[in-house]
Amino acid sequence: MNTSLSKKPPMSRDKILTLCAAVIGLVLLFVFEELFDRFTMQIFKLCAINIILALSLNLINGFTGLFSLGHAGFMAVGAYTCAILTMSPEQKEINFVLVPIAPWLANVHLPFVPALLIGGLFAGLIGWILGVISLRLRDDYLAIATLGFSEIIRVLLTNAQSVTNGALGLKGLPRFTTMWWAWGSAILITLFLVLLIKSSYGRAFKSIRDNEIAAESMGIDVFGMKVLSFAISSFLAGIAGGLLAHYLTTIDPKQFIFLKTFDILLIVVLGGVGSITGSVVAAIVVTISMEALRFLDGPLNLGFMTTSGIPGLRMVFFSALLMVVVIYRQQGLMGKAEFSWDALSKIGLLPRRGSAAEKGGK
Amino acid sequence: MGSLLQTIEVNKKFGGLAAVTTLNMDVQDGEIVGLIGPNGAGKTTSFNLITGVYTPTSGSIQFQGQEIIGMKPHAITRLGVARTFQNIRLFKEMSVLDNILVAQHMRMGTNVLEATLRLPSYIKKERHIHERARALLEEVGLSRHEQDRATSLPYGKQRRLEIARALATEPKLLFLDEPAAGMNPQESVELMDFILKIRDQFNLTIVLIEHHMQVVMGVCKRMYVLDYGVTIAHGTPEEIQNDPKVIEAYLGVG
Repeated sequence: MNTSLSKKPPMSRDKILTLCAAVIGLVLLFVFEELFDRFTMQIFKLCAINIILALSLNLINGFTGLFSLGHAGFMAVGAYTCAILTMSPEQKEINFVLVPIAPWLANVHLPFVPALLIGGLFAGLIGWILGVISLRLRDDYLAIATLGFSEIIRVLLTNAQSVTNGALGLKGLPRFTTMWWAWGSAILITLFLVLLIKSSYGRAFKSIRDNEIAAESMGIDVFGMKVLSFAISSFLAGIAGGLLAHYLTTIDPKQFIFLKTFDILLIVVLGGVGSITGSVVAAIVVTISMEALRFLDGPLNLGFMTTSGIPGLRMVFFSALLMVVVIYRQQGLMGKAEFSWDALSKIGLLPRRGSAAEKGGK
Repeated sequence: MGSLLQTIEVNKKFGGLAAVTTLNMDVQDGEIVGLIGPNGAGKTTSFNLITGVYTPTSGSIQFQGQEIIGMKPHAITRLGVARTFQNIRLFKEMSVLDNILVAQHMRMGTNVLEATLRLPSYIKKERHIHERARALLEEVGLSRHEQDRATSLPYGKQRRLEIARALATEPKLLFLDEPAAGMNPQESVELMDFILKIRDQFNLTIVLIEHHMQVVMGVCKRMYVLDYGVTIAHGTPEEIQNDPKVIEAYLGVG
C-alpha cells in the first residue's frame, strides 16, 4: 500500500481523501436521519437550504463584486412558482378563499422536480431582466436598486391575489423537501459553483470584481458577465426558495421581506466574501446557532434577576458578532481562501505530501 | 503597409474643458509611435478614446478601415487593440497566471455550460491557454511567480505582467501608457529592448505614451506631441527635438 501510493502522482492522495470524505458524508447523512428526531432533522435540512442561499448570494457579492440586496425577491419568485405548480387542484381550492385562483392555474399540477426547476428558471429569468435594467448601476446604487426590486416583487406577490392568494399565503404544501432533496441539492449546487468558479467564467467574474476597467479592456464583456452571474445567482436563489416552500409547507409574502436578504448576507460576510468554503461552513454554524441560542429569547435567569423573556434577543447576539467581525476580521472566517487538502497539511492537520507516503497517507 | 489606425478630427470635451482637440493620428502597420506632452496634455484621454473607454464628442476613429466609435472596449479589444494602464490595473486578488488566463477568455470561444461541466472540448482549450500563458510568462521572465498574487510582485514586474496580459489578448495594435514610469535608467534600457523584441515577435504595432525621453527617442520612429489637447507637432525624433513649439510647451517661453 505504502509503496504503491508513493509512486502515483501527488493528485491521487487528494482523490483518495475526497472519496473518503464523500463516503463518510453520505454515511453521516444516513446516520443522522436514523438517529435524530424530527425537529433536529428540520434544522439540519435548513442548513442545506441556507448553504444554497449563501452560495448564490456569494456568487454575485463575493465573486463578481456586485453588491446586490435583492435575494429575498428571487427566493420568493422561486418559492411561489414551485408551490403553485405542485399544489393539487383541491388544495388550491381550499387555499384561495377570498379570490378564486386564475383559471389557467387552477388545474396545473406538476411533480416536485419539474416544479422546482421551473421555479428556479423563472427566478433566473426575472433576475436576468432585472439585471439588464439595474446592472448599469454600481456599488451602493446597485444595492439600493436591487433592494427596491426585491420589495416590488414582494408587493406584487401580496397584490396578485388570483395567482398568489395575496397576504393569506399558501398553506398545506406537500412536504417534499426531504433530507435527501435538501442535501442533494446543496451538494450538487456547491459542486456546480466550485466548477463554475474554477472555470474561465469564474476567472472572468473575479477579474470584474478586482478591476472592472481592466477586465473590459482585456476583452471581457463586463456587462454580459454581470448579467450572467446575476441570472445564475437568481436561479439558485429560486431553487432554494422552492425547497424552502416545501420545507415550511406554508409561505406568505411577509417571509420574503428584505430582512431575509440580510440573514443570508450575514452568513456570507461571516464566512468570507468570495469563499465557497466559508459560505458553507458559516451557513451551517449560523443556522444551528440560531436554534441553539433560542433560549436567549425566553426568560433568562441572570443570577440576581430573571428577565421575562425578550423576543429577538438572539438576533442581538448575531448583530454583535457581525460588528466584531467587521471590525476585527473583515475578511470573515475564510477570507477568499478555499478548502483544500493541501491547506490542511499546511496547518498540520494532515501529514505533508512528501511524508504522506511514509505514513501511508490517511 | 496600409494605415492600421486613423483618428480623424477627434474631439473630446468634458463639460467646458476641451481635453482633446482635433486629434489626427495615423499609425502605420508595424510602426512604433510615441505620444508625448506635458502632464494633462490629453495623452491618456486619447488612449481612452481609441480603446473605447470614452466616446469622442466628434470625429472618427478607424481601425483597419473599420469605424470603432461607439463600440464597447471589449469589442475593440476583440478586433485586436490591447493596452496597459498608467496606474497599473492588475487583477489584484488573482494569481499572476490567472491574470494572463483572463485575458484569453475572449479568444477561447467557450460557453458557460461547456466550461462548468468541463467537457473534453473545454479541457483542451483550457490546456491550450495554460500553455500559452506559461509561454508568455516565460517571455517576460515571470515564470517563477506564476502562483504569486499579482499585487505581491515588485513594481517593475507588475508592469511587465501588464504587458504580458495585454499580449495575451492577441493584439495587432498595442497601447502602452507610460511603461517606463518608475523605472531606473538600467530598467528603461531593458524596457526599450523588450518593446522592440515583442514588436518583432508578435508582429505588433505599438503606440506609447512616455515621459522618459531616452525611451521615446530610442524606440519611436515617429511621434506626436500634445499640449492642452492640441497636437502641436509631429515628426521624427530629430524634428521634434528642434521644434520651437515643443520646446516652448515643455520649458515655457524663454
